[in-house]
Amino acid sequence: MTATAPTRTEPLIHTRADFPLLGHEIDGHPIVYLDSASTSPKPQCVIDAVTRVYRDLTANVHRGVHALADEATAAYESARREIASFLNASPAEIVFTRNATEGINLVAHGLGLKPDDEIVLPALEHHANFLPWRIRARPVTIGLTEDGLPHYGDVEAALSSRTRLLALAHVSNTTGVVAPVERWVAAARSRGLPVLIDAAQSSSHLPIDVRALDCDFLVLSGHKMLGPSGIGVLYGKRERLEELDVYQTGGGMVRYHGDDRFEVQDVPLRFEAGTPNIEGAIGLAAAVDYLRSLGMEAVHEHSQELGRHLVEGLRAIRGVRIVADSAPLEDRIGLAAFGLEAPGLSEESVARLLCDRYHVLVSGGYHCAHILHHRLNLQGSVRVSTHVFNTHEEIDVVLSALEEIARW
Amino acid sequence: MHPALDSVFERRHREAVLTSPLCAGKLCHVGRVPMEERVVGDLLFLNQAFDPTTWDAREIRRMVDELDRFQPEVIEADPAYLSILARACVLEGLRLRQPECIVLTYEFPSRVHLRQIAPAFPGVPVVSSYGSTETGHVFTRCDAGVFHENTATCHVEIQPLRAASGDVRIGRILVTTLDNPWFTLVRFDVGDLARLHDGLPCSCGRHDGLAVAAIEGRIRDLTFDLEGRAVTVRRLDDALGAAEHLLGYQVDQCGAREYLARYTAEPHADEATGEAVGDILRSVYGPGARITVRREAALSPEQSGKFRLARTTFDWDPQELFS
Ligand SMILES: Cc1ncc(COP(=O)(O)O)c(C=O)c1O
Ligand SMILES: [Zn+2]
Repeated sequence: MTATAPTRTEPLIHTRADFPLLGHEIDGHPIVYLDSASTSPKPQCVIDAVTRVYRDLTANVHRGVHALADEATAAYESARREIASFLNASPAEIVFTRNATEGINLVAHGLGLKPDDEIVLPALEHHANFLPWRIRARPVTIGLTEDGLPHYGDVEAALSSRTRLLALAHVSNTTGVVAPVERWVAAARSRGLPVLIDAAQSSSHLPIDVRALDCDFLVLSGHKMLGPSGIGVLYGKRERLEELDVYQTGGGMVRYHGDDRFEVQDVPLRFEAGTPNIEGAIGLAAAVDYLRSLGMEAVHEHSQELGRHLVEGLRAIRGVRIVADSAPLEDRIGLAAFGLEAPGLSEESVARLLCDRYHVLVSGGYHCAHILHHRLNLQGSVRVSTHVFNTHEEIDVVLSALEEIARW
Repeated sequence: MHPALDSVFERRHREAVLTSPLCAGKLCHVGRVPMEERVVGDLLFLNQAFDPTTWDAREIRRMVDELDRFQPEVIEADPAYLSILARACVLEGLRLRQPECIVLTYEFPSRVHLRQIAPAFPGVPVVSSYGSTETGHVFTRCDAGVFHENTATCHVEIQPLRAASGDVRIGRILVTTLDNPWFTLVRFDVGDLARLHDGLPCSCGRHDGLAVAAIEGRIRDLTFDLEGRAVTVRRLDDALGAAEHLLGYQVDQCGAREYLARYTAEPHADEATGEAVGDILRSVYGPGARITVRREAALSPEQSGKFRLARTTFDWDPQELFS
């Protein structure tokens, strides 16, 4: 492509064999899956873990008094341990949720926010990390550079006596840039405020250590990290979780219910009302185990390399405007969103075309970040996002397809 | 049980119990139950949390205060639980009420736990009744620390491991009761492993009946080395006891050659602790063992409330191990 193209290595290429979905064809052509930021394919070990639950382990957890129920409960709780270990948390700090969205709603509800309370967040946050705050309190947004990178350094100035919490994406789903969360945590610490990190996009691209980050809450979604959908995680420091109001009520979250009163379970079970997504939790633990077997450092490096390749390639295409193009390449994961000047084609139709003509699957639209697109004056964007199984060759496929489309 | 305890156990005494709120039999001890409701006769049930790693400063303080008020002569504890309380108090400079003795039960007393318990109770005798609770009055421990079979009330057999499956001096404890004509247990498997005492008569003078040198842990907590030979919890624990800065561990054997060791360590411990754990496990299981070592923020108990130092994640047939 470019004259100076470096030699690309593919240290994770062996993982392709683990993902049955990659064998899927459209019109007789194998697909190029570049939409993992939306949801990721699942490796066979995750599929096996989930089917094993249906085949061998169907029983309710925390309720049963028979052998299968004991086994199911042990597997469910061991999934909690596995995920705690992945984040360097304690199992008692891990709440299973439906997804990242539910984790954020749980915290937003639990804080008992008042309309005058302020939540400080970057303007480009995903709806999931914006609306739960907005409907309860006043969002105070951190501004953006012309190309859509938040002025993260403005955080201190945004804090006031009304601030109740700081919330930010570890990696934005539109910029693909790793946020300086340490700085936000430090700003919050100096005022005794909690910080919530939305790790939906980062959790399977870089190593996360909640103790080192010292964040108060962190959320993630299983389906974006090679795990099943319908399962997510809320990490919370123990004392922060204890402070939250109960989110949903029902079975499993109470230990006593009489005419006079009811008593709730300890955290985390207090926040897991009703029968949980047992197979989801077990499948997510399998995904986490898979990622760890690859090594999160190696996964991160691969993601960075693909991101660098992608952005350098996009820059060379006429009419492409990359969101947060000014960010240093080493701060990116394998994700970029961009506008493309292709007469008569919206960003959504570009994504459609990439699928129908080139069998390349990407996202097109607003990616649940309307405010960002309004501020950049973009009618949506195309988003290419990678995961462990993607190759440099696939990045070249999408780049040359985009070049062709841009030349139309 | 132990000569040091005789003087306490001969009279009426108060006991504080520290274990899973489930082990203590009363689910209602979970949560925030006033101390009065957790006192049953001469017993105080201290713990109210499923996971003792979640005890915060307030909980630790509460237990310290309750021990001061209750003034137990004996603390009966799961060693993992007591190690957490003891260490927290040492770190915070809180003085724990000193009982006349501490009885460790419910789980195998790990060296790693004993190491944390001792500094909080200087000079207090710590004895283990682990492994003899189920067997009840089966053994009497003599001054030499040897367990002697009570020949008047029962007949004990140690069914040895096959030579191919481990150390033949170790076997499972089978008990036949002789003292209850209406309900006789015949070769009842208590689930524990014992190591035979070498050479009778014992230095205490007894020369009849079976003598056991040590309880080796539960059968279901066995793991296996690369040759398929059983590794008891005691053997594993003796080895891991040498690792510095270790606060807790759980070893899962995930396949014939795969082991996952999770551990927690003192905050100042560096990678050397994990490396030591790996080296020790290779020496126990064999140089070709595939060992993954992970440092964790916390280790949690299983549903049963027990921490379990070792286990396999696959099924195997215990019958095949014994001759
Ligand atoms: C940064 C970010 N946060 C939150 C979410 C919401 O994830 P979910 O829909 O799985 O709850 C997404 C999903 O796209 C995301 O990218
Ligand atoms: Zn003797």
